[in-house]
Amino acid sequence: MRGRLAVSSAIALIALLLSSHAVAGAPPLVTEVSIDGDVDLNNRVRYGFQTVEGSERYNIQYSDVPFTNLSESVYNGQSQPGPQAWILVSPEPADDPESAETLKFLICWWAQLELPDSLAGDFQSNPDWREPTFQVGMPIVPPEAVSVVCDLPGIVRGQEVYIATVSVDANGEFVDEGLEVLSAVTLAESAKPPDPDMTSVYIAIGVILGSLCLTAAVLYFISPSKRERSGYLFILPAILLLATLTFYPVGYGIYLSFTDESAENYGQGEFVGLDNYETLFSDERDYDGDGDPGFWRTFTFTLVWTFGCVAMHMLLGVMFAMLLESGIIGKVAWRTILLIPWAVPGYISVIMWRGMLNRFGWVNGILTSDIDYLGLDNWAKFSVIFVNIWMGFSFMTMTTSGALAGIPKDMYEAANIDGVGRYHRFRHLTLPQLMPALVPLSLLGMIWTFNLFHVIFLMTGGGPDRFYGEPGVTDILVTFVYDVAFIDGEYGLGAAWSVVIFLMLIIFSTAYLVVTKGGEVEG
Amino acid sequence: MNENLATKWWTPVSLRGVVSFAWISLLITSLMCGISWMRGDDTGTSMSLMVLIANSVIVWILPEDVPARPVPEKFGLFVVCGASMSALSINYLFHRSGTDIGLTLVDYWMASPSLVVGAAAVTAAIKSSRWFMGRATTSEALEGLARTKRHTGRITQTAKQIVLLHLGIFAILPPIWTIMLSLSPGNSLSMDFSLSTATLEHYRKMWESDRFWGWLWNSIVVSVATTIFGLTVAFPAAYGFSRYRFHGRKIGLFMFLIVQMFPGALILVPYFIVMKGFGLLNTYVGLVIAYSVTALPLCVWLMKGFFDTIPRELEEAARVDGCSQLQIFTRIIFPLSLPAVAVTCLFSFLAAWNEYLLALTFLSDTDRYTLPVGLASMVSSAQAGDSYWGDFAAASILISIPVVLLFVMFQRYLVDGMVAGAVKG
Repeated sequence: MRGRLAVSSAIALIALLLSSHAVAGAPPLVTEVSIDGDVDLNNRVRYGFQTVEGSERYNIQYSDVPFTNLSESVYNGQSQPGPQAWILVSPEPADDPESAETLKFLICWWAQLELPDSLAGDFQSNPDWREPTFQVGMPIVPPEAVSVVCDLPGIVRGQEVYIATVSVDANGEFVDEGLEVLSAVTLAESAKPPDPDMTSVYIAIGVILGSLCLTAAVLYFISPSKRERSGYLFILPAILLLATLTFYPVGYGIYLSFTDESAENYGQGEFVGLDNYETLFSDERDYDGDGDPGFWRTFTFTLVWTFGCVAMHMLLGVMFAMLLESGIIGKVAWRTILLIPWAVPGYISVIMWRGMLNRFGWVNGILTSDIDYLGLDNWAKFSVIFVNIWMGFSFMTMTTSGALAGIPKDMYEAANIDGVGRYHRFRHLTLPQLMPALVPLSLLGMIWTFNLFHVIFLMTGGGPDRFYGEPGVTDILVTFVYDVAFIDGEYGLGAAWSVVIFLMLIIFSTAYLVVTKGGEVEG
Repeated sequence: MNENLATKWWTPVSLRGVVSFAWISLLITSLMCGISWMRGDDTGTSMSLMVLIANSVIVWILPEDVPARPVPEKFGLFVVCGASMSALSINYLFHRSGTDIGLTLVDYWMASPSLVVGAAAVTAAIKSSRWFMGRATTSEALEGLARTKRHTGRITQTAKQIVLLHLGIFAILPPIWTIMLSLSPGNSLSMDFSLSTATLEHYRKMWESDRFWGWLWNSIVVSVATTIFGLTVAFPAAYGFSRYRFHGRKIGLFMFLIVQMFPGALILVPYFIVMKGFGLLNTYVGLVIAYSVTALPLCVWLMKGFFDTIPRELEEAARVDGCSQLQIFTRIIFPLSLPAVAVTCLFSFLAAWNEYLLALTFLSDTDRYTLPVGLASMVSSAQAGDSYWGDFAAASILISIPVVLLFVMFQRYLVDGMVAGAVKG
């Protein structure tokens, strides 16, 4: 069963109930709120409360600072107050708890019992406590639940958090005006899982190194030419490095994609066949109900992103290069200025643009508009592409102007004398001369852009988000792989995504090379 | 000289000049439409759309082909369109000054090109009315041709300079913004920069911050180590591929070629797991190994390309003179290939210096962060409230200046190197 959490293995369980200060005069909303500490790898706080008659949902709100009313609660610098988690109460009795899939968003159990004194127990294996069903990451408890216990993940260790539960009825009104705020601090050290067995990796790397050295030795001694055979000695270190640190990881990644390796059962992944690939395309994770777990949507945007960026890079690059090379005054100065977008480190450019495109940033200030460029679906897509165009056009300008400078001038003179028009001069003279440089550059540009991670990751983080577990609106394949592998910790699934990306790149590159007949391997 | 011929081959240079500048104002007017729409200013949008239409007419109306055929009707169109461009732009300015926001610099920038070009179109058309009517005399035509010859270069040059000016501003706006942000007090995004309140507090803070220097040190260690290690491996490999013809050479070269197509994402997950297993997360060694391997193919191809240009005869001559292989290496190959080595060093250094994804994945300890991860973490919060934008801006400027200088100094080599890498790989 997936989603088995390290909580149940009771790795590190220290937490401290610091203080509990209810607002004077106001009756506590939820009786007997108790915070107990229970911390695991992700530093979660375990939290429980008794249910209240007539509630339709419970909002759980936590904050870095003490608060006496909900609008004062601020968590992790998010200035907009609001509940960070919800627990819904279903109108009907709960479904079969076994059928529910536990998401890592908020782990929750419910029971018809009063809250236990200690919350540190293992609820998952306790028969009195059941898992709720889930809907887009939100737990649903049945009306007969008397107490609910949940784990709030991602609480920073050593930092005091303040937590309150608010019960909300069907009309969206608070069932009770009172508010009881409790505080807790997680003190547990993050526990390290047992070191996985790396023997197989050692063996694999050893075998690769050994067999390569052996091959080299054999080739060395059977080589017909005494003179040429020392070449093996020169290239051997590089080949060994490449084999162990590129080809082996790629192979290992392909193997991983057939296992259920994840952050939780790290080192113990078992072979699961094509399950991961099925998950990619199945409805199992289609949380927003559009019939697509996000693969095709991400794929489409990746294509738009890749072709949009590269086409604009080529277009602008050729245009500006022709401008630069058309005998302007101060060419060196302009060249240097146009070099800047390429020269500024990429991550800095992206963050600069993120600041400028912020709703309260400079772009809105200068244009006196009010658009949330990174928060609206289409604007966010436009913005990431625009920023990448800004970052890439100058490289294309530089390379193209280098290629243009190499075109013999007398051809243009001849064309001028023959009265060839501007368009035809470009179409039949400049372009064919540029093609040998442009074709491989555009191919490489597409591969780079397809794999470009930091622009989207730092600009929008793939957002605006749709539903938890689905890729965001501006996620491209590689940024979503990162989320799957390192935010959700599902290494196997992430590896499956990577393999699909790799296959697409191979197909695409081959097709491109065949169509343009370019990029022959120079021997 | 035939009278008709001179007239036919002549289009007044003033009209041609107006059209050149009308192209620029066309682009800016399109931006005016877009920006008005983004502001949600419907009146402004429709006004700028009308300017756009008038402007397009002026751009397309003048017969480009030689000999030009003067058409009297076009005179009217030229004048009407020019006049309406000017009038509508003025109207637009009035409209904007009536709004709550009032006129801004952007409004002037957007409206003035069409204002000026429109006025110029009217003036030029009236001055060349005789040409439009087809009544220009030979002497006028000859005079006009001479004027064309005198002024064409200057007009196109000016137009190009204007385009380049916009382009240049587009290219340096974000850096300028960052400089202004780094000089303005407070750490928020909504800065109001003015020279009187400019402060160096962010620079001072960064300069005195141990964390910043720690990140810088990490970046330097990792990048230098990557460069040295990568080059030690790549140099002999490139030499071997260039100088020796052995079995499997082409396969080896091809291997170095296709590795560049491997997506980083494919390697990322297994890398992480293997590094985690070996305990190399949060260490310099893990990053250095990963970076060296990533940069290896490009380095090998770059240097191989350079070695190919060193004639083999040099070495053979040295061998005949009794040099050992080692001496050939140290006395001939290495000194000759110093430029290529320098460029390759620069490449792998910059690649490591700017790398973000692997560093982000491998490093979780803030003291081990390299600059990219560290700087990004300063403004990582989605909301502005918790971020240190001013400090980030100051740090970015401090980091970027040496890198940009490197690029400016070595731009030729870097471009050539990238093209070589692209063409071959």
